Amino acid sequence: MSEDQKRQLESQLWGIANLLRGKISADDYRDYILGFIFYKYLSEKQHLYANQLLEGEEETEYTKVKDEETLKAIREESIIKLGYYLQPAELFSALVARGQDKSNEDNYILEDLQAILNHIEQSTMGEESEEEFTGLFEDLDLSSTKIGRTVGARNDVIVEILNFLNGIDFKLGEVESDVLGDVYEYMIARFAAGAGKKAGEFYTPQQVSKILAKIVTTDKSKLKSAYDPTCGSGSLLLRVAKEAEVSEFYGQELNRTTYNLARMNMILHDVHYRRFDIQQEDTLEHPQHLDKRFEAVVANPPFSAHWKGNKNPLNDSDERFSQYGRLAPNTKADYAFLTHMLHHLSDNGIMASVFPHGVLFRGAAEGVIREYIIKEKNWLDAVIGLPANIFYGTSIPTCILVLKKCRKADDNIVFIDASGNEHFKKEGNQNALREEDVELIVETYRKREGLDKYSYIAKLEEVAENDYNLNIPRYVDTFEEEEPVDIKAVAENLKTIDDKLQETNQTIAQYCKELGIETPF
Amino acid sequence: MSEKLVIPELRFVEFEGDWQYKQLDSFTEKIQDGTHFSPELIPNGTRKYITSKNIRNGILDLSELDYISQEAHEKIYSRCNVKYSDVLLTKDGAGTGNLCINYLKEEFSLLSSVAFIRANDKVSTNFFIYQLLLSPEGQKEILRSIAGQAITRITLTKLRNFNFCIPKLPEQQKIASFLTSIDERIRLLRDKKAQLQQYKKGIMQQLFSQELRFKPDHPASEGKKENNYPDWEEKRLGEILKVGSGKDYKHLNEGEIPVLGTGGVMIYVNDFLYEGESVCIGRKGTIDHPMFISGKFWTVDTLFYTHSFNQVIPYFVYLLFQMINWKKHNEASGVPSLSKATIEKLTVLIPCQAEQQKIASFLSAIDDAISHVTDQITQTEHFKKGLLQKMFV
Repeated sequence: MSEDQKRQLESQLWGIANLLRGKISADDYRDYILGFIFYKYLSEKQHLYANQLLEGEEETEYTKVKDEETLKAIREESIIKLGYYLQPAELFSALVARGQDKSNEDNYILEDLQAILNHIEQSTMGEESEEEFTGLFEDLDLSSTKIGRTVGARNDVIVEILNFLNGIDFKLGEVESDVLGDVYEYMIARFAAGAGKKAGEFYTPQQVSKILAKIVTTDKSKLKSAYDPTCGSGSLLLRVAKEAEVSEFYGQELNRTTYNLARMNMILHDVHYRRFDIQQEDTLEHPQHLDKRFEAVVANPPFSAHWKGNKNPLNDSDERFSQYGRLAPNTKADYAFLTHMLHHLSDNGIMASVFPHGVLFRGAAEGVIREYIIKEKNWLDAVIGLPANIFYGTSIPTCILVLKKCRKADDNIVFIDASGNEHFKKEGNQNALREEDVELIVETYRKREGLDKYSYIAKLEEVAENDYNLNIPRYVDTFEEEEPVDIKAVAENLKTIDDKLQETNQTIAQYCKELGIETPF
Repeated sequence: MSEKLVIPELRFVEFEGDWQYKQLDSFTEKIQDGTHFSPELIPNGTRKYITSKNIRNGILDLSELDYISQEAHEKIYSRCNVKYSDVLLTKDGAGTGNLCINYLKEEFSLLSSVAFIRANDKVSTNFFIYQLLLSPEGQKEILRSIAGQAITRITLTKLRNFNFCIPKLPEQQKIASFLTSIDERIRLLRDKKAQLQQYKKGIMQQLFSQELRFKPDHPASEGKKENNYPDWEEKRLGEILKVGSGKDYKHLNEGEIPVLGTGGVMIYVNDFLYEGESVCIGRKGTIDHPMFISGKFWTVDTLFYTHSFNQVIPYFVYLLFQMINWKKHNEASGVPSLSKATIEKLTVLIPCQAEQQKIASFLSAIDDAISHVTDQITQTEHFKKGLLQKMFV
């Protein structure tokens, strides 16, 4: 499938949003649209797989199979292979047909739809895939007044969405598995761009994800595991999989809606349910993978979130936080996330995460933790300053910190200042990194190269001299030297100007005399 | 009916007779605006493309320029052939009414937001028309013809119908050359100011890099080989001064004491935070614009002031602060910020007090020269305004 077709699919799907705009607010219809796309995907996948199983049978079209035995066999196979099961009558197309049937007075499909979504989850009950599918559709509240006041109105909206989706061919059988996943990603990003900021959570722009993914896969083509402690919709983890072969994905996310999205996103990207483990919980309070270490750790944790910190007595002895001497302040969890990530980082792993600039220079407890990481552990590998205004919904300047437990170049730290005007392009009121900007950041990091006005390889002693303040301008000099002024030439210019002034003054005086007015100069 | 002569209050004596009312299009050869079809801008195009952003009052400002292709230019120029010394007038948008003389000898293209006016050289001159339009009479016509509220504009028809009282050609020429010589003086003074500022910058560069050194006034005393000031000493700013924080002023009443913000004086109040000579430097926002102040003053909380100077002359600190690259010590990349700790930790080289005094006096003399020229510019502009009022009717 070409890029063109992908773009076409993107604009087709985004068309639904236009369909609903004005009727329902964007935040509300997002969950429905993303949920239904997922349902259609599961349904097409089931249909394809069932037909595959039916090859050589008497009846080769799944929707026409009536024989109970055959259906049972398909069900069993599907649960193992796909992790879930949909009956022929539960397929997306079958449901849409019922919704379109105007001859039937009872074209209400809400109840059917609810039943189907429940069935999908129930079909996994007691199976290995159960955890990956439970509660997946819980945000699709078909009785919510947000999508319509009366049952009839809600039904109309749902039928409209389903009809629209039905007209779009996902071409699952023909294309690479990632295409629909990418389009899904695109939808998530588009919705994120439109959404207001909520508690410092921001969708990581693709280009930033790409930098993180490329950095953690430096010198690696295969990774045992990738972990994101604040995984949101899971896009960062999936991005890592584009740069290297990842065997297992681990993630944790507090927000239920995005947690559901993350699981759908994984499945849509054809990541088998056995290969991912995503949990819904507060990462700092209730870590879900405490005993595990990962080869790649990536994150875009909420910027300066509040956390319990010293108000939770357990934190003092928590191995994730205790060794650093101080706990991150209650109002700025940035270092709590950072050390949590370090806890999960395997000795041969690389961690890269986005943070607000404050982590580079804020003092007090954060200064103590920073100093410990650099001075005692020597884990900090690189500091990369990003342009301001590249996240949707916030103009906050951000940076990427790269950390490793066993560093090869262990006597220095790479500083990159990618915030200069020539290192991004303006897109409306946002700034965006171009392909070449991403490339330059990654290459400079990988080669540990000092480039004029762009990067600097700082010796550890130099960082110590700066009291472990990592503020980028202290290391990367991006200031244009002022041209030395040629004072001799300027002095001559001044003399010439004075001569000319005298001439002009004389001319003026002559005219003034003729006019009979006072000569002013 | 008594005959009343239509003549200006101030007139060169050799000219006699009434001035005549005439429509602008009767003594001009061409009044035309630029193209209404925006051509494609080409960064390395061959022809300049002048729009209203280039027309400032009295100045054809080429600091921001667009370019177009030769082909596109030829199309535009066939209708709108601006020439050297034509009068350019912004006819649409924010700068409506801005005027200047075209001093470019090359061909260029014009956008419709700018019109050009060319005198019929048998009866008038461009330079006279330019001064005429700047005069109160010209400005009245311009103001009267401006239509539109959000987006102001003057139509070509209205422009052509401007009605003026003008003398015969020789008198026009004389008025024009007089007023032009005053414009020339203003231009020279502005140049002088810019050059003086450059000079100051150059001197500071060389003094602070110690390429240039002052020598003591008195010859070396016996026993000393050379007559030199001692070497400059490295010190932390915290050793030579203390940084004070600004405070909210909103509870204060009106008075005579200035409240300083990062942009300068904001308001006058009845109480002061500090009295004496001090150098102020921004805490947030503009952090690279030090200010020197003496007497009583107050500073807002985004501006630091300095006090308790130890072996340094405040005016020298003011110069020193101008040499520090403050942005390098910025501690935020959103709104730039400095902290007291950052400032006090900075290391600088400091000469002895006698040498500081020399440097300070020299540069404050240059500063005086600059402000003197600034005054001269204002005064000359004033003089010109007076002449424009009296030499036209």
